[in-house]
Amino acid sequence: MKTNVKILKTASNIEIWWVKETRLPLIALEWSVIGGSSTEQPQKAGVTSFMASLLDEGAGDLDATAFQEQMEDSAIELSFNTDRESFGGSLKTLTENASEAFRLMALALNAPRFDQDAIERVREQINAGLRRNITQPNAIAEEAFWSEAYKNHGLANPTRGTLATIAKLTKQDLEATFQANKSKATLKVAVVGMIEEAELIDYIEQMFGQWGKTIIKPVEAIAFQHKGTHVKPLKIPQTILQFGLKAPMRREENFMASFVMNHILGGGTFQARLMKEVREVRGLTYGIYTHLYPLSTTGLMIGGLSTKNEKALEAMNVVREEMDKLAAVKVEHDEIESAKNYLIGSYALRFDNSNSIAANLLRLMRDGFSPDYTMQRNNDIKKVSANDVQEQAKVILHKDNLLTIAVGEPEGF
Amino acid sequence: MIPTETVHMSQLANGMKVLVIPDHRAPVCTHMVWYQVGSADEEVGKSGIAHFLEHLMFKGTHNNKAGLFGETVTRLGGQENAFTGNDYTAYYQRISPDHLKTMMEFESDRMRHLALNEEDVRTERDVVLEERRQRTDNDPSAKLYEQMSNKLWSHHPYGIPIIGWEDEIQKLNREDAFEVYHQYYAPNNATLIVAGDVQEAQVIEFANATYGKLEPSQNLKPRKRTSEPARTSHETVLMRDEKVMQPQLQRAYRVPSANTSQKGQSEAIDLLSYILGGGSSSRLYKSLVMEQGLAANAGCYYQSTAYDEARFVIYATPLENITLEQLEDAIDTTIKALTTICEDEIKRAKTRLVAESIYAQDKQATLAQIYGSCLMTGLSIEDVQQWAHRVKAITKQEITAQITLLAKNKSVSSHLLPLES
Repeated sequence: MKTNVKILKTASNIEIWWVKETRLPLIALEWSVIGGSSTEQPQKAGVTSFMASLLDEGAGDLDATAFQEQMEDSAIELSFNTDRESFGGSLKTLTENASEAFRLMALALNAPRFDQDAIERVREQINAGLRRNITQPNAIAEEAFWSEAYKNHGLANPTRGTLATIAKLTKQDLEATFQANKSKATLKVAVVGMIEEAELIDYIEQMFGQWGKTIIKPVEAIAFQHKGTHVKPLKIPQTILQFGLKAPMRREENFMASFVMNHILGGGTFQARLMKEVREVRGLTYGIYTHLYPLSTTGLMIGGLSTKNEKALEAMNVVREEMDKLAAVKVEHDEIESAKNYLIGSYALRFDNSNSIAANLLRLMRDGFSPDYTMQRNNDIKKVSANDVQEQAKVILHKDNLLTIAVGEPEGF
Repeated sequence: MIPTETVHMSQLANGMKVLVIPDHRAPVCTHMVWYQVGSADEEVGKSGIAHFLEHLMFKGTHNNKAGLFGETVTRLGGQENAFTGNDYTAYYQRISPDHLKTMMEFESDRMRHLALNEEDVRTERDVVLEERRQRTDNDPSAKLYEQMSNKLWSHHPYGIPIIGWEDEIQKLNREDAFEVYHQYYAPNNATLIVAGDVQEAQVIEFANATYGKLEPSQNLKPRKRTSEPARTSHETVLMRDEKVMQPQLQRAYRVPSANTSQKGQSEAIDLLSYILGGGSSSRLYKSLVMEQGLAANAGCYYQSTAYDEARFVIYATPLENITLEQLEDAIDTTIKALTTICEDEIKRAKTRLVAESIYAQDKQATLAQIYGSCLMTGLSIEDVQQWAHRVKAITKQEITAQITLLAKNKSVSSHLLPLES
């Protein structure tokens, strides 16, 4: 898949992957640094996300109202996000408003105000969401899953924090977190847009050039290792199940083989083993999936489904049986060719709009690939054999190593 | 000059409409068939049948056994899905343009030759019940939204959930599915939309060779839904549930849709909605969140695409120790103050809506979605293409004339609360 990426460098050596857009007068930008919730102290969980939410709540001489109005005057979409391993953001603007958009983003990235009234207002917004999550089954499952899988490690920090941790965060905490995360050392920027090369380089330098270079304290690597079944009671008619296993990280040699294996087991098509057996044959669920989630400090496979409480045990038994089967019996030629053809053919679908292209390029940058990897990626998939798939199934799909979280009132658990 | 996409509209001999939206940025096309039937066209007592039929359309025809279409899409590197709305049902694939004709062959086949065995019907009914549990029954706020909708439209079928009521889903059978299928799934009740890296001439050629071979239906009935009497009293639907940790207020109105409104009216409502509650510079956010410290969040939205009336919803999340009644009062005060709308606010709203129409052109699937839903709800190609221009021309008077639509006695509120302490 050819993507016409040009690599640009700013005066202070910030790398930009740029795809020039020729049809529509707009610009889509994605950026991130290494940081995020896994770098937080547990008692300050959620501070990065809280900080990110405040960057468009006043910067420079502009208070929150003035900043928001200026953005909306030009229909600029500026947002910030936090994940377990990263902190970053997005910008979308019409080309005619580029100078305004980059000016406002530069203010947010260099002189956020962290005004006390904005802090309290955003704190209440975060609290409202956290309160809802207390009884929201997917939120309960996610929280329990990560805290079991990575006990005592930063990856267990809930990315949005808890009511208890958010309550104690101060302006100092937020400012310190901002300082800690804003580093050029791990910054990656991807842009798809109708803009001149020289202009873009200047704008990126304007936004990020003043950032320091200190690297946030690295989080140590950790293997997914916890197993067992944990029930979180909730009075709902279904059980929401989330399960996981150790899996390779992105740059490990066997990643692609495990990627194909995962697709056969629970990837997003109706031909996946789990979709067939749990939904099509038995009618037990509306959706069931597995996907690989490679981070830089750990690698795992996560899966999930929801079914009525009376059928939760049956559904999980089918999941375990299918895992055993994939490890025990080599996949036949037609099935593996179809899986590979899907993964290869559908790759292009990611590159049909600016936001998606920018996001995919950013991910490649984060994983340490070069732009021509988009041409190489499908060859790597082609090379995967049925033997490779079975080997990965044997290594990964140990039903007794499953960590399972069940939220609801599952019968028989 | 607002950039506007180029589209080509035509019709096959059997009445099927064909819309081509070229976008040559990537070797991808979006192939969609839209049927002019949705949950609002269901027979009383058979709620959920339009959506159930959508599920059953994947269970094979007399020519292609269950799963073959899906396996083919996958093998060719494509993705597929479908969805059911109040006013339409649509099926689509995203795939390389090299396989467009194959998609049309399968899609046209299942328009007329659905097979369905009892086992598949039974299993899929279980799947739909799990879907209902997952989307609605697990979640008090989703259940409350259903109740509020049912009160807002107590005669008109928009008040019935698209997925159906649980007890009615349980009774749906193969005959019910075929009744809808034979009645509504016809080329002269369908629109084909192909967006992406395609040429119009070739799309028409393929369409004639596939869909063009199907006979039109003679007995298509015009859409006829029970009308909803005007509301002149406010009602509140109250739900208390032990799982509610965060109270929430919503207030819903029935207002003219893009299809039922007078000229320029729905564009004026679009602008009013943005000014009232479209973002952090909006009246609701500024008043309830920033100035009065009553809410953590507040806003509104207007869903203009509907064959009959449209929905306008205001929402607010109270801060601790603030009651939902206090929020209701603050909302009414804010609505009354809309008479003071100024030029800056109008300019900002127009900038936003025009920008959205440009951003939409960046993604073929978005354009296909917009055109499909508009064509299915009584609008024309020109209506869609000229929308941004019409928005730009709306005057302050036209906007303020819509304020009366938001009088409290025309609405239904939903109050989501924890158990009484």
